[in-house]
Amino acid sequence: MDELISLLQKLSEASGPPGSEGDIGAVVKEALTPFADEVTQDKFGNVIAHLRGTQTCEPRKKILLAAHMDEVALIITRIDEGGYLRFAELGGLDPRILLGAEVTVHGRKPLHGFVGTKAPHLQTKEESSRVMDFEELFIDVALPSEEVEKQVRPGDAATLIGCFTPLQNSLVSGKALDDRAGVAAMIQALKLLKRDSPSWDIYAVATVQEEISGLGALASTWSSVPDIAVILETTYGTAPDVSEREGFDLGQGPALGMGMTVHHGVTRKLKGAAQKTGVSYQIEVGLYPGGKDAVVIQLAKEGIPTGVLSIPVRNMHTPVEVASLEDIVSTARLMAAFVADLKEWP
Amino acid sequence: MTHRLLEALEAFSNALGVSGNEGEVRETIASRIRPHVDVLETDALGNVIATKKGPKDSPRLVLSAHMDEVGFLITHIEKSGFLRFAKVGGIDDRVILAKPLLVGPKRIPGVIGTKPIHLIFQKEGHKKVAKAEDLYIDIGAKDREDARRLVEVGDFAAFATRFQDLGNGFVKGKALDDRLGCTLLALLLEEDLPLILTAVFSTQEEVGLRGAAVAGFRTSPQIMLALEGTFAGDFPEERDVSRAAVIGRGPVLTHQDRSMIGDPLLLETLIAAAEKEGIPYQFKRPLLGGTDAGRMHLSRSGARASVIAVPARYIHAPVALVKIEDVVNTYRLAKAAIQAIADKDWPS
Repeated sequence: MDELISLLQKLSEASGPPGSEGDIGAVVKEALTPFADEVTQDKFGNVIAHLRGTQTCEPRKKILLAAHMDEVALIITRIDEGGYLRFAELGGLDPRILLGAEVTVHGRKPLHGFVGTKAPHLQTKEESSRVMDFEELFIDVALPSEEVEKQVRPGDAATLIGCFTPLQNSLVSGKALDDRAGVAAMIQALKLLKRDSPSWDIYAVATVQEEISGLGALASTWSSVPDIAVILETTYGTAPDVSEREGFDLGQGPALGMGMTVHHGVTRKLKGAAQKTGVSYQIEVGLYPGGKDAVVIQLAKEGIPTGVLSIPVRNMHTPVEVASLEDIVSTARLMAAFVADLKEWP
Repeated sequence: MTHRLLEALEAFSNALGVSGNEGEVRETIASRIRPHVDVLETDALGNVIATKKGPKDSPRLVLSAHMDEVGFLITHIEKSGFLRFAKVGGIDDRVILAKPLLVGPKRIPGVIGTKPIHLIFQKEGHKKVAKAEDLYIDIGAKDREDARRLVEVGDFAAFATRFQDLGNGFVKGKALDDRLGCTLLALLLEEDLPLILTAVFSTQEEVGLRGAAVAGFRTSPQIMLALEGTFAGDFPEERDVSRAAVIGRGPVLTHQDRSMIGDPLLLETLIAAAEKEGIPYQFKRPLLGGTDAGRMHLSRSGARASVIAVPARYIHAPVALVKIEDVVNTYRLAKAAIQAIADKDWPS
């Protein structure tokens, strides 16, 4: 568990705004390297680990595992007088979590920023009782405006600063657990598979740009052309304001996605693997389980049978996302058992 | 000097001390000042009152800084193990969503949770302010019993922000209102002083200047100065209107706030001291906020009172920002003020 905590902390703390996944990419590459025959990075920035299976017949069978490594972020739109930065969202963010938050502005060098708004005594009664929207917020990097102009340009990204912290009962809190929890499960699964010498070839891909488009996953699917794919994602965790109809309990295992993006055959095999390993799972029924990556991977080339495993995460898209380490471990075990068992498809 | 100020500010800022639960910060401050003072007492409300002897015994000067910080009080533990809470002190509901906290004297980490944007977007839930009474703290407990091993109703919770030197002349941290004042006061007690100085590190300022009420009675000041962290509102749209205070322009002096009309003669003395020493200073926008001086100038038959404050951005939020130069200049002014007060003949 200590090894997983330190891996997840490294993943959570690295930055990867959509389109600028260099920092997290390097962390993921290093973590995947011991368990793969080859780790490459494509033009998009997707990190692709290839573990060759024991099969001898051609054409070789291939499975794609995909977890996205980008995170929701902000994009600088303008530098105001006084050096205050105006911004828009990069991925879906709730503007209400930003006041009082700390961010890293990825300028020429990383700058520590603070999200603020109009001073309290100057807010009208109407303003002080409502939500401040993105255009009313700013990032303060505590530098003179000439210096800000030198360091930051519109188009630069900013990521939320989280404080990676273990909570009780194997839960952890930090930023970007969506989908670094999935990335961690994928790395752990590959580690188990390296030991098990599976028959199929495995492409474990940490994808880019999921939070805005899923185009990273599309590129990586075309380059590997898998026979089947499984997406390792996150889904909503239950909480006082997230009911059992809307979310999934933490610590009860991954949610198996069922819906338009998911192939029934893959789901059946995932259930079989769960039963075999004794891993508990939940069922997530939705139109598009597995996020944007599942949508594009399913539709790549002649169509890829796709399955989805999602780890429940509370407070998704905030700096204080909460996930269960046990869910990451069981997702990795289930994933590895599923792959190790692959012989024929369908 | 700068290094000593920052080192003390870091220790004081990281200590927990939500109003009414100032134990941890009290111990941090008391152990720092103990070797440098002649008398050190804690009163019934938890105020730390220290006296340091000097050559003169008049006027009776009291300097005060409050130890407490805004935060939260655990009001209920749900069957599910999530904690409900109330705010302690003036915190805008809009700055607390999705922030990390430390709960209770055991510093149990927790976070204020929120429903994800994906599930509220269609009903435009992100356009309604999330009220503190509807929010909850997640410490990762399985259920109520599990939570009660670590937390009880009545425990406090504080922002978990760690102090940090940003390397650009600014530092950030929680509770800078008023650990800034506590830092200045603690370090003044390490100096050779021209007169007897009574230092009050007060409690419960954020919930109605309560500690100061009894500390004023006990110390009976003739002259009192509150050392504060006050908010700087030097933000973009506000260039044509009063900006409360501005970062980098030195200590902030008060004509009048919501708790007090400052003593004109004392204010003049402070201004003269600043000008003599070449220390920049600025005035706080009148009628904003209040301080312990508001309570202590009414003690017994009354005291001449004023405020010297360090301007800081985003006070009463999870993280505040202060310019080191302002901290140093405010310290210089406070020290010069003590000398000027000692040198002056005060009409009784």
